[in-house]
Amino acid sequence: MLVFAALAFGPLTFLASAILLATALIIGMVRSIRDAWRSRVDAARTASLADRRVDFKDRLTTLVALAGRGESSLWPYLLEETLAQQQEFGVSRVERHRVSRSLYALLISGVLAALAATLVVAPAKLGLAAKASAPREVSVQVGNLQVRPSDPALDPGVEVSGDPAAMQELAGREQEGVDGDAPGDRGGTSKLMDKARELASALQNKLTGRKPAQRPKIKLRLTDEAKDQPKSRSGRDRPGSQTEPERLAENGSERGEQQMPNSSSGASEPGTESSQGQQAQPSPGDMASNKPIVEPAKPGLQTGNNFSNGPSEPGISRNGPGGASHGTGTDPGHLFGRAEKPSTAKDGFSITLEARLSENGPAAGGHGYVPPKVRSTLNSSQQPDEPLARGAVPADDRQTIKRVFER
Amino acid sequence: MSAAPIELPGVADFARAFRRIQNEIHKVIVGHHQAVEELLIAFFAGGHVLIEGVPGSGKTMLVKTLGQALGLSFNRIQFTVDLMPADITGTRVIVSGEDGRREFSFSRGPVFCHILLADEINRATPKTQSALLEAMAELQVTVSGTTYRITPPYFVLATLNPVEMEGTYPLPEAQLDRFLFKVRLNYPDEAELTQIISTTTGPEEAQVELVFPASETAARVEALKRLVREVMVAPEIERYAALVIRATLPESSKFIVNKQGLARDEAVNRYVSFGSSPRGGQALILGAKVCALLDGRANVAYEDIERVAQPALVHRLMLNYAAEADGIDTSHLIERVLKSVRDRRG
Repeated sequence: MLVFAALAFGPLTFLASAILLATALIIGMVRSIRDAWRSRVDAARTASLADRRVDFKDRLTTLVALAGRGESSLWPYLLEETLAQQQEFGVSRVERHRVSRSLYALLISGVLAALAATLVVAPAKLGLAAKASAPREVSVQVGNLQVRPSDPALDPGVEVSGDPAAMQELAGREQEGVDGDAPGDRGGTSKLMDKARELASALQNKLTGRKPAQRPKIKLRLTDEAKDQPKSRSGRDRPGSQTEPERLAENGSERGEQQMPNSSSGASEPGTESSQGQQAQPSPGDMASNKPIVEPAKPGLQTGNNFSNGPSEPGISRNGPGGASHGTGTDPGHLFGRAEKPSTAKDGFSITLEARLSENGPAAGGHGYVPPKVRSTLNSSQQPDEPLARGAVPADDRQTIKRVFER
Repeated sequence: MSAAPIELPGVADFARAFRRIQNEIHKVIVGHHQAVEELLIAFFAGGHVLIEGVPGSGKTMLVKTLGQALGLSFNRIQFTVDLMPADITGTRVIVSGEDGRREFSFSRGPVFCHILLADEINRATPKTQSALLEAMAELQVTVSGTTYRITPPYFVLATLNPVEMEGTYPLPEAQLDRFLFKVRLNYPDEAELTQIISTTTGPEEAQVELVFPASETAARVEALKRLVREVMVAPEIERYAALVIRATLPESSKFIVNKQGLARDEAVNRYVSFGSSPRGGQALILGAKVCALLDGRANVAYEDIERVAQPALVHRLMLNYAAEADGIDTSHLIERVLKSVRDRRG
C-alpha cells in the first residue's frame, strides 16, 4: 500500500498516508502481540481446550488441576475412568486441523510482504517509474504574478524555460527574492511543511525508483489577462505602476496566450480568477495564433523558494486591496477605504503557482482544450457583470461600524 | 487399590439409588420430572427445598411419596396464621412421674423427624417461620436453654401457594436463603392431566415400595450424601460458580467493596436489589456434584453448574419495583447472568 501511495499520491498526501499506515501497522502489531500473549496456553488451559473440543465434561481439567492432591476417595475412579476413555481425547480428535489455523495469518502476511517487495523492485526494472516521471513540458502563464512552484519538492530537478520576456521577468524576481529573502522571513509552519514535503518526496523517490533529475521541465511564458485585464484588476493596481515586463505580459495575452487551469486556480486571487477564467481565455480561433514555446530550458535558472519570497514590486498584483492579502482573509483594514500596501516581503506572502502535470494540459507543442468565451448581449434591465464600486462610508458611521466589529 | 473397590461402586450405586427413588415417586406423581429430579438433587446435597405451585399441583403428595419411598419418618405442619413457634419446635410440659413427682419434660414438636413438610409456610407469621431456621441450618432445636439434636437425614420441604396472597407473610430473605433449591410445579399438560385423572379416581392406589430396607435407610442415605461431598471440583469451576454469584450482584449495592468481576449485564443493575448470598455458591457446587454423580462422573463440569443454576438462585435474587413494573422474571435474569459469565469465560 505504501508503494501504491508513493506512485499515486503527491508528497503531502503520500506523507499523510504513510503516517496513517505506520500508525495502523504499529497498532496492529501491538494488538497481535497482546492477543498472542493472551492466547498462550499452559497445561490447565490445554486441558480445558481439549475438554471442550471433545466434550469430555471437564475431566481433564479436573485431573490437571487436582493432580497430586489426592484428597478425594473418588480420585482413583476419576483417573481410571479418564484413562479408559483415552481414545476420546486423542490428538486427532482434539486438533482436527493438521496445520494450525494461526499460521494462515502468517502466510498471508508473507505473501503480502513479497508482493510489496516485488512492487518496490519492479518499477525500477520495468521502467514504470521512469515512465511515470517522464519529463513532460508544462506551459504556465505567468502574467504579473509572483511565481513559485507550489511544491518545493520540485525544486532540485525542475527546469524552467520560457519566452525571453518571461525569463527576464523571472530572473528579476529571482534576484529580488535572493536579495530580500532572509532566513527569518518565512514562517515556521512553512518551513516545517517544506521539510515534510522534502522528506515525503525523498521517500517516494526511494520507493518508486524515481530520480530527482527526472523532474519535468516547466516552461513559462509571460502572458496576461489581455484586454480585460484593467477591468478585472480594477482597484487592485494603481494606474501607471505597471512594470515593463507586466506590460509585455499584457501584450502577450492580447495575442491569445493560453493559460493552464491549474495555474489560474492556484495562483491568482479570487478577483482575478474569474476574469482569467472567463475573459482572458482565448477563443479557439485565437489558439492557432499562439506563439509556440520555443525557448530551450535555461540552465541554472530554477524555480523554487529563491524567488518566491522576494520583495513586492510596486504595481504588482499583491499591492492592491483586492490582491494577495485579500485572498488570505487577513485584510480587516480594507473595510474602510483603500488598503495600504502590505509589506509582503516581511510577512513572506506570495501567490502560489500550482504547476503540476495534467492529462488535459498542453503537451509539447500543443494546447489543451480551452472553452470558448460566450458573450451575450444585455437587455435594457441588465447591467454588465462588473464589480461594484466601493462606496465611501460616512465618517459618522465609521465609529459605529468600528465598534460593532471590535465588540 | 484397597479403598477403590469401596468407593468405585458408590458412583454407580448413587445413580441407581437415585433413579429408583425417582421411579417410585413417579408411580404416584405424574409428570413434574424436572421438579422431582431437582427435589432429589437437593435431598442428596443435604439441603432443603421450597416448592412453589398452584393448589392441586401435587406438592403435598410429592413430599409424602418421597417419605414413603425412603421409609423415613415424615411429619407435616399446616402453617396457619395462629401457629406458634412452640407448635413447631415443641415445648416443655409438666408431667407426673411414677413416684408422683411432677417435673418439666420436653415434648418434641413435629420438627423432629427426617422429612418435614411445611405446608403453605407463607401463611404463618414470620416469628413462627423463623422457628424453623435453627432446625434447617444446624439440625438442632433450642428450647428453654436446652439444645436438642435432630437425627439426620433431615429434609424440610416447604410449599408456597402463589395465589391467595391475602393474609400471607412472605418469607424473610434469611429464611429463603436457607433453602437450597426452589422448585416450581407447573400445570400438567393434557396427557399428564389425563393420566392423573385416570390413576387417582380408580379403585386401586399406586403402591410405593421402599427403595432401601427400612432399618438401613438413614445410614444409606447419609452414605450417599457423603459420597456427594467426595466429588471433585477443579478450581476453575469453583471460580466459575463464584463468578456466577458475583454476576448477580448489582453494582449499586452498598455492601460491595471490590467491584471487580461484577455484573456487566445492565438488566441486573437495573432490576436486582440484592443478589445471591454465598449460600448460592454452595448450592451451585453441591447441586452440581449430585448432577456429576448422576452422570457417572467423579468431577463437576461447567454444565453441571448451569444445570442447577435456576433452582439454586431463583429465590435468592431480590428484584426491585422496576422489575415488577416491567414484568421481569427472575429466571430470565439468571439466564442472562449465565450467558454473560459464559461469554467472559470464552
